[in-house]
Amino acid sequence: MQKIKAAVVKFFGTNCEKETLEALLANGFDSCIIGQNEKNIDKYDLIVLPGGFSYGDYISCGRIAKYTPVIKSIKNNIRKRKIFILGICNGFQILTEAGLIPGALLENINGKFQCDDVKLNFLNKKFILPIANHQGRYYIDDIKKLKDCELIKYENNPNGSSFDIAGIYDKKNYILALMPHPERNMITPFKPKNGIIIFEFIKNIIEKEFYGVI
Amino acid sequence: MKEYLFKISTKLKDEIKDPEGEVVEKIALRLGISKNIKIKKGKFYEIKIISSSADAACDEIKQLAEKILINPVVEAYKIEKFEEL
Repeated sequence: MQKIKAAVVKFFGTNCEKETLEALLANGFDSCIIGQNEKNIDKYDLIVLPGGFSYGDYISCGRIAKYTPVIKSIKNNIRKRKIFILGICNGFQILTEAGLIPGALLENINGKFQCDDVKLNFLNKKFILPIANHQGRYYIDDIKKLKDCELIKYENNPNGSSFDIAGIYDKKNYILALMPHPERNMITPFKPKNGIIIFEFIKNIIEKEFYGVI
Repeated sequence: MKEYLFKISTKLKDEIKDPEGEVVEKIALRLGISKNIKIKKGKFYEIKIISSSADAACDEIKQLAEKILINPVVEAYKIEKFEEL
């Protein structure tokens, strides 16, 4: 079985690209880092938009990054073929700004930067992942807009997110967006490597639905 | 071609909770400035643009606001001032 080709996108101001790359490599992905001006992403089956502060969060988180060539390429690829997109933290913010995931991300309800471990529930699995954000409050006015999606939910909503949403998996377009950081959990020696739940989920989807592996 | 000055404000829509505004309300109470105060935080942009006409300038500013200055899902903008320079 060939390794899944994955690329981590580094925008100006991204600062989680190296640990995201390490996490992908540790989970068996054939991975590299690409820049925000990359136009040809045809050879990759997984594109990861990592955490950080793309374009210094100018105007608002993810607002400027959505106009980069790599986002345009991602949109084109989603239209013409199966490609998996993972957005972590700032990547989630970029995906909402770009209109690839409905809703928006706003300042946390207590007005504070939150750095903590949170309990999550995804596909009947309960696990803990770290969060580190200031604009992590997911807002959506109508849950029906997420009818084609699986939701990652907080057990104890830390930031006022609508419907306790910590992450969204769009099954139709293969887009997974989440505020918690699965990559950070993969590289610490002190905590259970729960990030593997997310990376294994992605690997299974790509192998089954892209490559037809049973 | 003429030069125009626009002053634009943006803020969260009224129905969306604004924690920064609420924190400033609490500080205003703590400092004894006011007990009855409602604050919504926003941003302010001063933009100079050279365009063929006032209508064309307004159209370009509308595009700028809707594509870059706000996220229409949660924010709104208002042209506070518009003048030919």
